[in-house]
Amino acid sequence: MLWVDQHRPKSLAGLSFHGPLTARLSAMGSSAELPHLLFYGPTGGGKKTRCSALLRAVYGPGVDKLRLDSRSFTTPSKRTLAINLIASAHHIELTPSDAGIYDRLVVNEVIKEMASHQAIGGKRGFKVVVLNDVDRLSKQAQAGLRRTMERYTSSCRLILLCSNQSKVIEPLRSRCLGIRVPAPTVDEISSVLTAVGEKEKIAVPPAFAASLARNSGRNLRRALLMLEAAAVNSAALTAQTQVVKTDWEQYIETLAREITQEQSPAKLLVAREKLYELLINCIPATVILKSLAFHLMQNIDDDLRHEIISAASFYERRLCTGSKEIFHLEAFVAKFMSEYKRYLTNMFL
Amino acid sequence: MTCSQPTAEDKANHPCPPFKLIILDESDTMTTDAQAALRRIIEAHSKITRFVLICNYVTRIIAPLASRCAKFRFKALDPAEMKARLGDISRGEAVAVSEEVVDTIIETSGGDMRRAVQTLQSTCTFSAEPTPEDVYEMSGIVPAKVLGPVVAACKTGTFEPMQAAVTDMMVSGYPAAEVLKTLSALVLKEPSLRDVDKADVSIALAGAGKNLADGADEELQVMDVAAKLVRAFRDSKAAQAA
Amino acid sequence: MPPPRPLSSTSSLGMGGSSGANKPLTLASWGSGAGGRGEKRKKPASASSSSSKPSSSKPSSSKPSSSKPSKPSKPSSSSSQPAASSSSSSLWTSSHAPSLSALAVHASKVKEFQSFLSSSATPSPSSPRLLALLGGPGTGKRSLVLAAAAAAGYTVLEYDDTYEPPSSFRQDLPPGAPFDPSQPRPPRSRSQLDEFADFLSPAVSGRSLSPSSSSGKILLLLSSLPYLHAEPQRERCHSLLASALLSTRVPIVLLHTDLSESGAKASPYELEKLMGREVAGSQWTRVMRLNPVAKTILKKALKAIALSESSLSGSPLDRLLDLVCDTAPGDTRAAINELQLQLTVLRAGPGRTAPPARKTSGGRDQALGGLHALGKLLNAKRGPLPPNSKEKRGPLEFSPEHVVETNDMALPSIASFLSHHAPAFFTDVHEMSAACASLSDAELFVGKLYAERDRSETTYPEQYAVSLLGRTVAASNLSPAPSTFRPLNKPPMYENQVREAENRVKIEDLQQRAGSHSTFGSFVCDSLPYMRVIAPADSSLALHSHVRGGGENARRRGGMEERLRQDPDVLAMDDIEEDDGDDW
Repeated sequence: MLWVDQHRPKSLAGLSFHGPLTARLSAMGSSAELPHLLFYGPTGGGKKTRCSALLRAVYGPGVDKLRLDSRSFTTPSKRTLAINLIASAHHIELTPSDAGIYDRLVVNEVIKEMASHQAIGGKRGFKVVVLNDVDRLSKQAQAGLRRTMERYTSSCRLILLCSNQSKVIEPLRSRCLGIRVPAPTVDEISSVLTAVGEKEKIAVPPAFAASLARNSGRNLRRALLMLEAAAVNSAALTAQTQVVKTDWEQYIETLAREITQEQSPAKLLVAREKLYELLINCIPATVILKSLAFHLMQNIDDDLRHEIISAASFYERRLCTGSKEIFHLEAFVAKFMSEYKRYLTNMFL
Repeated sequence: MTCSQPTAEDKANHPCPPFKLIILDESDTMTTDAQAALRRIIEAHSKITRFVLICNYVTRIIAPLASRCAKFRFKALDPAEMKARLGDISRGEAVAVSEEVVDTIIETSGGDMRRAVQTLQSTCTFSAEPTPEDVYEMSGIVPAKVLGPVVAACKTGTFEPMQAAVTDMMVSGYPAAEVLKTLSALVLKEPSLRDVDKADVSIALAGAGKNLADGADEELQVMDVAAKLVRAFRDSKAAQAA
Repeated sequence: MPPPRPLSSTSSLGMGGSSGANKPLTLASWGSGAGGRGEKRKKPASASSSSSKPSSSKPSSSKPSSSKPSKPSKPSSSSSQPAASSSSSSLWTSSHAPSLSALAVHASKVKEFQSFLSSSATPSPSSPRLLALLGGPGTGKRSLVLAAAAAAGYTVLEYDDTYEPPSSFRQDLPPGAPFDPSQPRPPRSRSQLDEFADFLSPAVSGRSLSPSSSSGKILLLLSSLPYLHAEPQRERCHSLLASALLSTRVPIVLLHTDLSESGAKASPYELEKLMGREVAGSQWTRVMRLNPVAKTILKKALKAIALSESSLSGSPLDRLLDLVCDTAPGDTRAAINELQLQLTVLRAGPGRTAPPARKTSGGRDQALGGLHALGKLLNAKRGPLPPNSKEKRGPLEFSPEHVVETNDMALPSIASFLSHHAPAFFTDVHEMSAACASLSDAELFVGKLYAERDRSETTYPEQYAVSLLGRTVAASNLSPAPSTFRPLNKPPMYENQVREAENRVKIEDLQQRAGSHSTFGSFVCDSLPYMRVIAPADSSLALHSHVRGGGENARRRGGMEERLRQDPDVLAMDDIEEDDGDDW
């Protein structure tokens, strides 16, 4: 088991940062009512951990007895699709966006089924449905969710999790109590890393912990994985220990370097191969574009940075509204090449 | 009392006009076709039925329909009235809320009484001693001070400090749409910017808002707007120096 | 003999369908066929347009008797009996239906079909019962079946979507009542599906199929399936077919015209769409594909017809045949129609010995199809600059919109193709960037067009997308790369999408096993790379890689088919339009 899962706090009392938020969640756990909730915030900030801890506070240790389940649905065109879910006696958790274009069906069916079974045992008269990645749900599915949650509100509460709250439609947001889970600070991450190091009997130098925290982009999960990877790679950790970078980041770095060295149609073809490689390995196109843009923005002139950020935000939006990602990634690369070449030409004039 | 066949006594005790009322809520979300159809219905049955249309934006009611109605405009509530009402509620629920908190609630509600009451309820339920910070959390509004470092970085007129500040602010998890709203208010109040530069930034803000609604990445969109703000500060400074 | 017509062939073409009283009879005869060539795309009923419509893949309109199942089709053998003179009103495509020996189908394919017939007759439980015969228009699918069946002594009962049950099949008639063809048919009041069921029901119930056939050797020919657009109806049709397959020992041949280029394997998805899963996967089903007819074979067949119909011979005939073959490559039916047109024009204008140069006015749109036509858009050849022009470049030699619109590929596939090949045609990075930006615009339009086509409330201007696609490279490429030979192959976009989907399944599986709570995106970006470092054995994945995975195409395809069998939705979820692209 990975450290990041092994040392995940199980109860609200075990949470190590976001004190005021924890206090508020405790108040919710002990009050008779639970509103629909919308957890939002950056990845690796602890939304899921807090959600699980809240459920434990609401229902007691019964929610820890999880079973993996798979449920199948029949689409209007008579096809069956299966969706995986995690369930306890009191709650059920699933990622409806896994069902692709049938997300709306999944949302409605699961909640209907959940609500039709009376909550058994426990002090609560309702069950909880946890939906991951609601920002990846289609607008239709979100609208469907809004009606379903009103209809079954007496027997069923929803906890929605998302990282981009802008992608959740306003009517859904206004029906939920929003809970913002910010990313932990560098210091908070460092202390968690040290604590985990103690449990694993590994000395984590403070300077190395801070370096991991910064390099992780204040993403605790990432920082913990980096720590474990570093511990596997080196016998003893020192302040100078190399921080392990992900393979795809290194790949994008290479790509950024290549297109800064030469700008030509031939080079675009080389870049395209790399973009395909990343896409085939399931790296989300938005992540590719963002990471590439930020790498390109290092060590260049401010004017060029302005061009890059506006091109990046333009083509990132295209990724959302268009249907074939490679077109827009390539257009971004070509745009950069053009701007960079123009900049170089002007410099030597 | 029977409504359909009122006795003389009923009529005396409950004077009732000789028509029914049909209330159409959220009528500005009706399509123009539906509104056009309604126009004829209203006229045909005006003897026995009166319509009440409730809407947020009277401009979204088509002119022929609006001209058939007498208009009542409900303005945003007066802060003093809201304060009195919130005071009543908190006394009725026996919760202790400080003056400061009530003011923050009123500020974040933007004159929306329902929202104010909701915020009051959730704040009091989930915090033992509510503070203005709790109110901001519950209402989902981004307080201006969160954007302080970003605006300060933009004032340098250079890119890198802005980039760092935006990245730092975004991981605090505030929804980008709300960030843009707050930023817009700050930009409009900013004395060191020329009007033309404010206009440029406002255009960028509007575009970013639309892009976010289309599902674009929050960090890139906010950074794009902030980059425009960097240039706006730089240009304004250059214009003043000249 | 019609009066001499001093018209060039081009103008006679235009008048073929419209000229009034002095219209020669011969012209009228092909007025419905080759004469309507100019607007063939809009006239699915005419014989020559059958190239794009499987439903009319036989000239049934001109020879209705052959389509009725109560009458066994007896193809006339053209080589032994020359048809009547050309003033007869029949189309040569029907009057010259070939015998087995004169078929313009490759001998190996004829053998393959005959072996299907003979093995279907052997009383073994594993002997095949249904043959799906695929091929482009005019490759001789139906002719092959008719000729081979006649040679082997089979009676062919044919169904197509204009099928109406003969009255002898009706229950209200006493059994054995004589069939009276002169009796007017009652108006058609039943659905095509019911009639399809009627057609199949004797086969299913095991009754004698046709009262008139005594030999007992019967072959069911389904020239097309009923035209169905709704899912439940399609399912019923498929189940009808499946139950027929289960209960009958009569060989069934199903014709399907597909427009994919030769050599490509029919995708299992397409076959499933055609016949239903059960039938497509059945042990009794065979699939056979006819390739476009080779030019030499086509020419030989045309020559036989030309010799029997006209006095032309020698090198003029040879030139004419070459020309005809080129206008309709690989398509026998269109070539014969073209031949009839050409010879009729020749006969109308005596004294002309050389075949008219119709190369530019005629020709078929199909010949423009495929990848090579799109090369025009990339090469963007321009004519000379007219004098006194203020433009910097001459006008384009072609109409970009026309090239896009007449192409048989779907717009998303065209967009993929252009985007894939465009960079090779540029030298200037700024111009290329402009082109990429426009292609990104075009992709947005095309994507919306296809994603929201079913919803009627929004109509996207398709014309803009077409123009953008057609003109992007031509407009932005001011300094094109010198023209050299560039292989214009199929873009890897679709293949890469498939591999992405396969990798996604693997990663999801791994995520499940690892019990990870994170979302897919963050699992891929954060957890997976570190898991490879922390626990290489557990997280080692044979992920498909674009750069590394070179020559394992076959295996990959196999994987895709496997996945399709498990989950036909995988295509529906990605992009069905790309499925066309798969068979380029």
